[in-house]
Amino acid sequence: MFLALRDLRHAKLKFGLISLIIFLIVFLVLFITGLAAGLASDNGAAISESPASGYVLQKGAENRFSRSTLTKTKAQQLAKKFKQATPLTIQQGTIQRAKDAAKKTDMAYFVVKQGSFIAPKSVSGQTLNTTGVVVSDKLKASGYRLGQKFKDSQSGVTLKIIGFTTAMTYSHTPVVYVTPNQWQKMMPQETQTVSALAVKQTTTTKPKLAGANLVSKEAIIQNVPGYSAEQGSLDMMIAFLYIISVVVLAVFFYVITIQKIREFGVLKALGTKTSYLARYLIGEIGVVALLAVIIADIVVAALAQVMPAAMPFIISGQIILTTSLIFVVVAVLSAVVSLVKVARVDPNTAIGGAGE
Amino acid sequence: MTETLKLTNVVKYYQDGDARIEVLREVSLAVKPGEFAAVVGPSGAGKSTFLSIAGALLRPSEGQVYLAGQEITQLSQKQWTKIRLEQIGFIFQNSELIPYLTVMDQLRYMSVLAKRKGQEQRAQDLLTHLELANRLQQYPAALSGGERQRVAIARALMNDPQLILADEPTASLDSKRGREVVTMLRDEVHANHKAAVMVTHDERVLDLVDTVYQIEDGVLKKKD
Repeated sequence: MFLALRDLRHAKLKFGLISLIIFLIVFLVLFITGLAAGLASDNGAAISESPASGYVLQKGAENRFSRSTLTKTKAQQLAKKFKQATPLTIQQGTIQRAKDAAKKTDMAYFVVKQGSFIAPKSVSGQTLNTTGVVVSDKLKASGYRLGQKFKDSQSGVTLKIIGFTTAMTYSHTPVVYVTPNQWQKMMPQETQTVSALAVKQTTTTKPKLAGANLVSKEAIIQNVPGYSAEQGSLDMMIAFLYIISVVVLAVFFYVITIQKIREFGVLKALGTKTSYLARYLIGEIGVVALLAVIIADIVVAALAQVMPAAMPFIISGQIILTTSLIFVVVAVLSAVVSLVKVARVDPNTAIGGAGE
Repeated sequence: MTETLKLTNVVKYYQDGDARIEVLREVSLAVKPGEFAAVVGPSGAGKSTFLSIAGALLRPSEGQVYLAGQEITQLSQKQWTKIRLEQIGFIFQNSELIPYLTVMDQLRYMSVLAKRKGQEQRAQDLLTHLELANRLQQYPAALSGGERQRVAIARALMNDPQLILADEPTASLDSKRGREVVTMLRDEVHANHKAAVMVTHDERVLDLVDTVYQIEDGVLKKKD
């Protein structure tokens, strides 16, 4: 590290610029990663965090709740094939407060039986019962409070918030959990059907279901409208950012190495081993990358704290750490081309000035 | 007494298609400790090739190279690197100091490479002796050509090698500075009892050396 530290100190501007580039790329990767995780959670937290292991949907529903309808009789028949099964109806809607009728909020109704295994766990207030509804924490951002009443825009039925659960969302909207009784009041025409059956399965064998399919939780999330397209494009951006950073850094360090070829010849002539020069190069790149990554980590962590609630952004310490590690490895890997060049420098080039 | 550097019948040739280009022909030379030798000759006479072979940088096609009695001709690159570090001090044509190291660090680096500790005082003494005491924390860019070449002399002496090899040390200096540098080099060689070979085409400094060899078309001859 003798040479590396002194070179870094001497050429602050040059290495500062490289650091800045790495910082910007790492920051962008972390930001997009956080956004992807946030959007994913926003899209299907109510499904992914549910204790249900799978869902039974009508055949031909293409793994989408909105396209699935099961009659209650059918649902009861199907339920017998599983150890635990409970009907679930999902429908998107709009709600508004009495005082503030002009301001409507989009949300998703999850019709679940009180006390069933998919009933929400309340973090404040009561658990789901017939006196009111349990709603997603996300509704707090729109001003909804415990004990408050609100109106379903379509049916005009008034519901009371008796509890809040975690930030449960479905297709980017907060979830309102209602009991079948309340749902009947709101949708009198739909008393004989449910969307699907939520099941908890311990065995891996697939039971034969007439006119219905057992769909995994993951398949449901993948088919939430817009989910795959959204995550796919974000993942592609992240992959490209990694590729871009490898190429940019490799070119950068290669150019720096080429500039130093003569110097490397002299160092070798003086008795420096190639392995020492390799450590010097990797040390230099490692320090630059580490510095940039640490700054990016701090900025992203700080940003996550001040991000408005409406912006879906989730980043965990573990993801920050993994991404940082990958980046330092990527930066060091980008030095490989340069190392080959350094290994090939002939110490004899130091003799004879600039030629002869 | 063993010669510090001995070359016997060294031949170096390159194959160019069918033709064989001989750069060095039957070169023999011996330099004793405390002896300052100069090899003079025009460009292309084989001066650089001679220095590369003497400095464990290039393998001769034929003949042997001995350093302090040990034959080094057929040693591996790795062993050569170690020999260059510990037993040979190089002074290059354009000083070739490392641009991002201060004068003190240029010398410290040599101790770091050789894994020798407690060399601070030695480095300071060497630099003081070469009249660079007020330049210790300067970078090469801030030094004059003569000062840079003096730092190079100090660097070459840092690991206390037995042999000093100087490649045209006056090439980038005017005659007055060139003479100063060669004088200092001579004084160090004599005072520390080193063997030194300087390759040069600067005839004006030849009165400062002990032995002069003339090289022409790859043939080395001692001049009287």
